[in-house]
Amino acid sequence: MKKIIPIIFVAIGLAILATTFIPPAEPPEPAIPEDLKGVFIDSPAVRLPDFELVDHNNRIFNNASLKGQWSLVFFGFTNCPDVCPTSMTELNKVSAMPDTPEDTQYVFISVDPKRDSSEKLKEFVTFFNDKFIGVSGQKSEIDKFKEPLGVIYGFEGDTTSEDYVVTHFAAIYLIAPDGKQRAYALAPHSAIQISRAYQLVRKHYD
Amino acid sequence: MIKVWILLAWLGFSTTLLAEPLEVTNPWVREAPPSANNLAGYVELTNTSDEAITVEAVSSPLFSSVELHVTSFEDGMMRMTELKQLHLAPNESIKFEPAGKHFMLIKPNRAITSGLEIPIILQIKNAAPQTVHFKVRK
Repeated sequence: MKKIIPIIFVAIGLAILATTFIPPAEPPEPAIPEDLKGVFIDSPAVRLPDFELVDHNNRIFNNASLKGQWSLVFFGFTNCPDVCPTSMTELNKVSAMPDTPEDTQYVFISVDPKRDSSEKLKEFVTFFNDKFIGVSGQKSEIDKFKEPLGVIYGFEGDTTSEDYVVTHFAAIYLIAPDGKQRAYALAPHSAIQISRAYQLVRKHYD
Repeated sequence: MIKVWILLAWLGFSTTLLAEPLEVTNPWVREAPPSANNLAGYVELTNTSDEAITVEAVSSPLFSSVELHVTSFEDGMMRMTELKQLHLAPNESIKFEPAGKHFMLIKPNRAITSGLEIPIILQIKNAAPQTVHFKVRK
């Protein structure tokens, strides 16, 4: 009997430890309707490592900047004539839709810090919407952020000149208020696609 | 009577000469931030003639150069490729649209503002060049 009592205590202790430290199982992921093309859920959510970038007003933009609200994040470069302005225009339409929650942050991350100064970023993002945030910084910090999201980018042409082209993975990422990535939508983007995906994911996880 | 026929034949001939080989629908350029180096133009081109048309080069007096590009997506990766020529078979239409084919307008030499009409000259193989006016808008 004397031996059994400590075993019981150990068992209770282990049970308490387990409920405290083992995270609850992920809720089942939301089903994506068949007609909602190019949208993917990340389950489990993707954790972002610590990074430190700079926004278009020269303020620090880091993991904390993504916490407390949902964010729609798009990677690109301001010299991009076709896809980036198209996606930014669609994001602006999303922000103007009556059923889009107002507490949403829109972030454009430039993978081309060499040409995209904070002034250039500010001009670019605010051209589409005053509330949009342009972000860039050191390549090593951009890479920390983009790595777990699976963003790939590269440069074609002479990068010592001003006339090189950036090829990039053009997706819009949905980051939850806990700072983790929950879903992404592949380009080409439409406001309807992004809005539907956002509301579906947000309703499911909020 | 013969004079009338000559007149009709001449009229027919001259309208053939005047008719542009490519039918142009909705030419527009997406307005960009003031310091943008590259802009994109979109249009639908239709070959209404009985012969194939080849656009060999494009240019504009308002830009240092103009190129025809196609944006492609491979597993989400966006890439732009230059189209060196544009072939249109008789009755073929080619649509330039966002996130697809576009006219890439490189380095403007003046402010490109909403409402401006940008002349773009299409150099057509074995035919006179055709000028298309692209309207700048959001």
